[in-house]
Amino acid sequence: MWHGKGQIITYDDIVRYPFIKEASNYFKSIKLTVEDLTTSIGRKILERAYEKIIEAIKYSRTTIDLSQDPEVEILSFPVTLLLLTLLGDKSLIIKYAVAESKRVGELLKTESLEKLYYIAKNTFNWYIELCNEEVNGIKFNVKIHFTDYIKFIPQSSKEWKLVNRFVKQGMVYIHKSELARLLEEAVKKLIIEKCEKANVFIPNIPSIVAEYLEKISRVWSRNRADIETVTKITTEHSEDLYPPCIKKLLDDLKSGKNLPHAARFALATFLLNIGKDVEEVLNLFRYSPDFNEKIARYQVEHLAGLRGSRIKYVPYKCANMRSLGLCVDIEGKLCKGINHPLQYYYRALRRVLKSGKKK
Amino acid sequence: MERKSNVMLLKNFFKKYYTRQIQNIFEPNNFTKREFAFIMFDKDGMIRHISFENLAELRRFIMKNIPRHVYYSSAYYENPSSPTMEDKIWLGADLVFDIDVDHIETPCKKEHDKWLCLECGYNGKGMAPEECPKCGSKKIEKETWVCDICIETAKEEALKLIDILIDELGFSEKSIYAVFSGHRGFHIHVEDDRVKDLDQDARREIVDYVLGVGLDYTLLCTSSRFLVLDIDLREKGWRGRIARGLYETILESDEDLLSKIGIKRKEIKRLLQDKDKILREIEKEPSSWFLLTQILSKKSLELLINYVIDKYKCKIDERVTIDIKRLIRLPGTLHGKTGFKVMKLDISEIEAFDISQAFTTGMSDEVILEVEELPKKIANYKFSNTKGRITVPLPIALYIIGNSSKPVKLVKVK
Repeated sequence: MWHGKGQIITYDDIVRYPFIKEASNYFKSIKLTVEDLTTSIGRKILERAYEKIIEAIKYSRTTIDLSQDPEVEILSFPVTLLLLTLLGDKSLIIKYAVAESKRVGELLKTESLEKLYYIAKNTFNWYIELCNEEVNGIKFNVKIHFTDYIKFIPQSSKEWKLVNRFVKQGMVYIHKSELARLLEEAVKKLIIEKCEKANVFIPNIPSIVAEYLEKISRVWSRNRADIETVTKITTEHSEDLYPPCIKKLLDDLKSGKNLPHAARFALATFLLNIGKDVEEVLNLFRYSPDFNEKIARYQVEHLAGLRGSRIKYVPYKCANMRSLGLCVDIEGKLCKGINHPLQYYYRALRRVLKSGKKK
Repeated sequence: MERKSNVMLLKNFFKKYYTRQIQNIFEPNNFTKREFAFIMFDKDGMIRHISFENLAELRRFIMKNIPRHVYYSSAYYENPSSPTMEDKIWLGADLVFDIDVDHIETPCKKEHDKWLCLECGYNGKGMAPEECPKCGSKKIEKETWVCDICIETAKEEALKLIDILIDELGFSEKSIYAVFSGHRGFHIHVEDDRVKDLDQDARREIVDYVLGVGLDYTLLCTSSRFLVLDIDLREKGWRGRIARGLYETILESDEDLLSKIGIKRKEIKRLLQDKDKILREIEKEPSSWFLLTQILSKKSLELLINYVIDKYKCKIDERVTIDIKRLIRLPGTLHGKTGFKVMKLDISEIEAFDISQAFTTGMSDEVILEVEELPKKIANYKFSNTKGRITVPLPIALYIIGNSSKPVKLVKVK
């Protein structure tokens, strides 16, 4: 049924990694149809697919249930994709893709290099080689063609940039954990692509499937309403949620004080990171006595990752705020257990959201 | 301002060229999946969303219409002639780099380039600023000319880029070719199946690699101690490039250059005193940077490395590479402002390229023009007079007519 070289892919792997080539070959061999979903085993599969989407919506993470019939677990994957395709909501598709790929990513980290290599090569057709080479004193066991690497860079950070990698003859040297991370990203993109590009036309959707679609839709729209509350709160009362250091900087700025460079950096990066856009941040800096639109715009765009290195900057952590003299709560009375200004904000936000729900 | 008679001369000439040279029109791969676009002599705007069944059909179109500019898409589409991008359905795109002296500071620009602010009339010579230094307006009219220094500069950048593409990114020589753009630069094309489906973000990573954007200096050092450089002259990639750049910069350095870079006067004095010793240390295998890093503060060393990255990066126009739906000039056609041939070149032909190879005709036919003012030299041609009535070879005359922002009067074609 599935023939990995030297049995590198086991039956369990198909349950755990239902996106791999061996799994999709298996799906094809089963020839599951929409009508099959009305049978009793079909209903089980449908129920499990539904659960996984709900897990993604509620907990941003999917699970696998090995206590159940593994066939149900395996087949719930294509059925999940079918449900998502039928719903056709792009943000829900992304939500699920992220949740599922996170689950996969965590498992992949624990796998052997050989298995990761096999999945990369066989499922994703990456140009990848195992090696045992030392580059500038660092040992590497894998290299991957740079075109595959740049397609799946998981985040824009300095260390992932191609320019900061050892590249020889088109091959990028990476570590095993990085390979797992690249695969996680590839899984995410694969799921999104499958749901978006799938050309599904089902003239008569069985009523049981329609029921599930409706159920998912209901949970999702409730959840979206929550997101809208978040946006509302963050725009209406946002300043109440800022940590004291940022509040102080904002007050200083508004009263026309001239902030030193580090203070501007801390304030601007904080605001950009909680979702303010460049214009909003610029408007605040207009209070500054030496405001120069051109320079300020350049700087803020730079911090937002729109210019230069294209890296979005994060604010200083608390330790650095302290050493720069920007911390106003050195004894930690207001910021107990906080070590980053953004952490303070998110905690405060969660608190407000919870109390909002109780009402 | 273009006079009708001038435009007619250009068009007639283009017609003659295409009649004789239509077989030179280049056939891009995946021909039927490409979009073609044209700018005509007698119509405003661009005619787009055209595709052809085969090369013969394209040639017939060109012969019939004698377009002023001809472009094709670097992308392949399912339906290249659909008017909307959505219906076109993007299938992939070649990887293209644009090297254009327009974006590179050269000493010759002061000799032949001018700009004028259309808002306030402020003007100057040399490279045009992005916005008027006086009124801040972005409406700037430029008049730019090509000379042999421009071409040499562009060649150097093109060869630098090709080295990176082959030595570091591992492309085969066969998959790369260059195109003389018809004015002041080259397009470098990479046709490799592995690049076709790269999206904009992925292409941006390639651009950043070529430009050295986001380079983390700590990677040049042992552990995280910044001051201990750990790079070697013979290394590949950015580490080696920076090592060689530092070496060459120190070799050429004098007080002017170092203070321009921003190095402190005390450090400059010591650096220049110990120059030979520093260079000998760097030449060692592996290179030693001990003396240099003893003289320079962390800040100064950073400034020096910044200078080296800026000087040794390939000066490509990043927008062209990132754009996955770019229209680009078709080799074998003529550039409508210069009358020069857009020419496909093998990598091995770049070094010996000379602007006169792009002339469509010999230098024996002559034209008498009346001009307001020209630079002393354009392309490879030096003028004895830069104003009034001048007698010039036909290709130079076409270039002046097509490119000058000032009125040009055609007196006689000999």
